[in-house]
Amino acid sequence: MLEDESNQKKLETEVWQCLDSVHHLLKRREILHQTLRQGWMELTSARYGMGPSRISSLLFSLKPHAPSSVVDIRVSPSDSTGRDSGVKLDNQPHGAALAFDLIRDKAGNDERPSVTNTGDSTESDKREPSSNPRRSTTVSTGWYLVYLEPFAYASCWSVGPLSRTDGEEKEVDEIERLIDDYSADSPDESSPAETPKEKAQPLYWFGTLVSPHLRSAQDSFSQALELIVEIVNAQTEVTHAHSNVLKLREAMTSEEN
Amino acid sequence: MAAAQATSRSSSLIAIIGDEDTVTGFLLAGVGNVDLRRKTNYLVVDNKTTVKAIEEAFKDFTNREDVAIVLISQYIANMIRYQIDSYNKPLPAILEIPSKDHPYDASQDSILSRVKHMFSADNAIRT
Repeated sequence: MLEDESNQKKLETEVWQCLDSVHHLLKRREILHQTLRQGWMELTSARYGMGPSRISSLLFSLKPHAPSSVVDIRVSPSDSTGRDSGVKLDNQPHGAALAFDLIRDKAGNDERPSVTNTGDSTESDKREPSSNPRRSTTVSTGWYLVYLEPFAYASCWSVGPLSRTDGEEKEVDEIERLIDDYSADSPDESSPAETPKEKAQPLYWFGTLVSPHLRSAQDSFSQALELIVEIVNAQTEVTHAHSNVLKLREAMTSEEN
Repeated sequence: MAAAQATSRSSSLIAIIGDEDTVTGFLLAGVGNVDLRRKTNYLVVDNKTTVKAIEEAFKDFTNREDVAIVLISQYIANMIRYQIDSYNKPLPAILEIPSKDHPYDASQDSILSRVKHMFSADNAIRT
């Protein structure tokens, strides 16, 4: 008898918990819908201003990159109702005591760098500008000279050292020094022209100068992302409370039988 | 009591199955991920996308260990409703979201429909 009453009280508590979670969930969903609608309108305005071809899924970067917004999952401790904690994620059908947190990389750097030096490594992106300012300003010109004037370089030698002028000899020496310096460099230096932050910014997939509506759309969808994590947490609470109610009902039904 | 055999996951991804505008917006928000094999965590659904492709993408995202949340537009979820209703793992969490052309309908949501069934007349709570 006492056990029946305690189960009945537990059942009522769980039902109220479930109803509160559903109410919270529906409220958050309404706000999410408004935020998403704002984002879609901004995106449509940006597409109208920039042109349909400037904002398209064809422009999505397929170069390896990591996200700047990720989710951390943790197992919440048990609450006052005495629900079990430390639930096995694999065996529990409903996400009991799981909590999701949105983590943003505000620095713009890749926290989980999945980017490696692939085809982009052929570009001059392996130098640190602060290590040798002279080199950072002369590398491009050095390579420019080598690229544009290989025949000039060869023609200098073909003419022969005695026929070279002082100016040509200095230029050849400069090129040789640049080639030696570049071949001795380590492969871990970054490019001064294109930082990882700029590479990881999805806004730049659509061009250097983008519509302010596109930036507003980015802000709207960022807010939507935070709401989504809240909704997922609320949804987890709903399923957890729902499973508890079902268990208590079964327990009460089996006791009556 | 079962100790915390469940381990917390850090830096998990958010996968998206939606129309072009929805996927574009969330990629702008910074959820896009492309690995070395050019495998993405999103699927853009248009009028040429088959139901089978959607099923395979859903199956792939729900089987990946680095995905924590799968966002799916509700009108696309309706195409694979049987697959979503039969999904009962805690991770990744499935969240149905509205789309630009199809508003959200709470009665079609898998999670809310289960809760609604709990409070239906046939399952009235005894007092």
